[in-house]
Amino acid sequence: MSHLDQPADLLVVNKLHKTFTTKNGVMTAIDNLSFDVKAGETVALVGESGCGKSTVATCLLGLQSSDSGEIVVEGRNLLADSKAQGKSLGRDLGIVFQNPYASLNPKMKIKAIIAEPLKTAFRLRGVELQQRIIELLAHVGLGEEHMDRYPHEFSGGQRQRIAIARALAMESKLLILDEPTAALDVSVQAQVLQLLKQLQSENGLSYLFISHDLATVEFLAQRVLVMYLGRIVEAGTVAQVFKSPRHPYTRTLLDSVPSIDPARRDELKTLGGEIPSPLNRPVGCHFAPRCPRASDRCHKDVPQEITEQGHRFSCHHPINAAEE
Amino acid sequence: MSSPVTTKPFETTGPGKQVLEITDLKVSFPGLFKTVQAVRSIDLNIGVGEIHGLVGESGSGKSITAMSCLGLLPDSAVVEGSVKVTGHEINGTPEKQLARLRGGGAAMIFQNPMKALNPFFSVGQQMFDVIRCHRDLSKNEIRAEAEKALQAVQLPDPHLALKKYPHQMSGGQLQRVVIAMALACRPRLLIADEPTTALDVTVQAQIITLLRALARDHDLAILFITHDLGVVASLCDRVSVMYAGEVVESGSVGDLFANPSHPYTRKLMSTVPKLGLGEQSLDFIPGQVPDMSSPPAGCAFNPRCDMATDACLQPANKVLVVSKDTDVSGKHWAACHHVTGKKPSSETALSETLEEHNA
Repeated sequence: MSHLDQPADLLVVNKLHKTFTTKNGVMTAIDNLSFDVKAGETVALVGESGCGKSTVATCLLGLQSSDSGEIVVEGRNLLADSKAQGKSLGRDLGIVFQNPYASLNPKMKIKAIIAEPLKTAFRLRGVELQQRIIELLAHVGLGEEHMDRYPHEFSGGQRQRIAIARALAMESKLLILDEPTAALDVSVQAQVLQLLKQLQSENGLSYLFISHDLATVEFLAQRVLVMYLGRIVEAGTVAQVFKSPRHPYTRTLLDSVPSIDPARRDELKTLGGEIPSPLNRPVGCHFAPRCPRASDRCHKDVPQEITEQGHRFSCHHPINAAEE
Repeated sequence: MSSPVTTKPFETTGPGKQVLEITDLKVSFPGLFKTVQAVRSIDLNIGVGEIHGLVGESGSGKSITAMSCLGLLPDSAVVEGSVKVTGHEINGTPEKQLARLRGGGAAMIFQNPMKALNPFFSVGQQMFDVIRCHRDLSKNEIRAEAEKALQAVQLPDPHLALKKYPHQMSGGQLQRVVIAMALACRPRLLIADEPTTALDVTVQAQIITLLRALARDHDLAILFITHDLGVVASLCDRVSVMYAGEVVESGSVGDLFANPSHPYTRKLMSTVPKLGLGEQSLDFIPGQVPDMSSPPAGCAFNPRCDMATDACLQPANKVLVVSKDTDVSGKHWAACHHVTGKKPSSETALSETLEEHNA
């Protein structure tokens, strides 16, 4: 990263709002979400399924229109200018999707899948194209012999590596990684995480890393946004959020991760209930119905966001550092 | 990680009371030009109420081993060796008899609960069918039994859940429905093939707690297949690590995590990002899982192992691991030429100790 002192904001998301109208009512998927990603950093977006993580990704990419708010990439507001959005989708924002079974065309050979962006964006042809494909495949741990195969001949892990190679082909400044390692084996996951880190330091890439695996988040990210039912409930640096979480939901998430030490198995805590339906979100704090610290106030009033040394959280009864 | 093991000691009610006995199982898929040896000699025993974790990368043969326990392998598979579920041999048993054993003797739950249920039928209809097949009960009894099963997996409002269709439930709820369905016929053995991989951590924690309670309260034996070492450490009593169709290390969870002895197990552990360590460098295993149509000679891990020597080109024998932390050494073994434990005086000494444990 060349601008260590003052990293520029690569992506600024301001009050992004997205609702879906269904026959059962209006569903709020993203509720006035604001965050930024600086050049060369990794921001992680964590939360349970159904909290709106992936909707954020699709809105950023313009795969879905958002209701209101701003998405600013390098000073250009994508939502105001649909042309900018179309171009940005190609060059500035790359994406690695969650499900490599759905994101690769089953009728295309691997070399064609990776060649497509190279041909359209960089006009590569012939030997050059061939070499770049081999290079990209080597980056993700695949060999030349895989070029002429079809996606069905690969395991889920290998397919995801192909998808990553395709995203890398665009040389985007910001990659949106939507649970990229969820389908990979641990040994492969480690390789991919290392690779992502290495690519970041070499090329100054930024990542928006969407994940529910907190350990990989801690490994890859510098900052974390914790989402619950469309809202960011806590945000801060990895150290702030993981070492001294202030929101009870973050604490619960951390306690749910099984430890690799069998002696600590009794520390595994379970949270009662399920994430409520976004069609019928609780009034007040969304987490209140499942929260061990909830009071009457939590069921009535939406908590205001508190900021302490860049550590943002929205809770009426935040956990104090002394309690930890 | 040397603290005492908190697992329930595994007690069998007598010799031959193993719920699952796999002896020298080999599964291969002959093709036109090559034969894929998916499983190459596996021995595995699970006692009453024991939770046995089977860990390994994709392609190591975990799922094929699980499928062979229920005779679910495709006709193209060539199966050798013996698989006994509650004393009944699976290999070579006609389909009709297997159908009775499935669900009754052993049941299976899969990775993706959304795919395991039929989207066109309500949860209730699907549960009733399963119970009707295996148990001779009246309509009302079947309904009561289904509700009881849903209650056992802590699903709120069982009578409402029975009316719902799979798309109306969340992943965690569906996985609990699938577990309830599997348990409704009171199997002795539950085979769980990565049942928490598709779920959120919070839901995963719920399922882990649930499976632990089921094993403890209902003496249910569980073969738990996963690639998540954290889940194994939190759930299982014993663990076997698979690589290239073979078990390379096996031991109680406490022993194996305190003293991982096979280089593959050690590598596997160092590749997992651990929470709470802050900045860390992740190890990774170079290369790829071998092509099982032509597995490497000798120890299958040798091409990727940084300890490999010429000796590794010969097959490695099982070696008992003795560590200062534990005195149950007889149950922890690894198949490696470089294991830092005591070598048994002879091959018979090991097989005797292993048999003693298995008995």
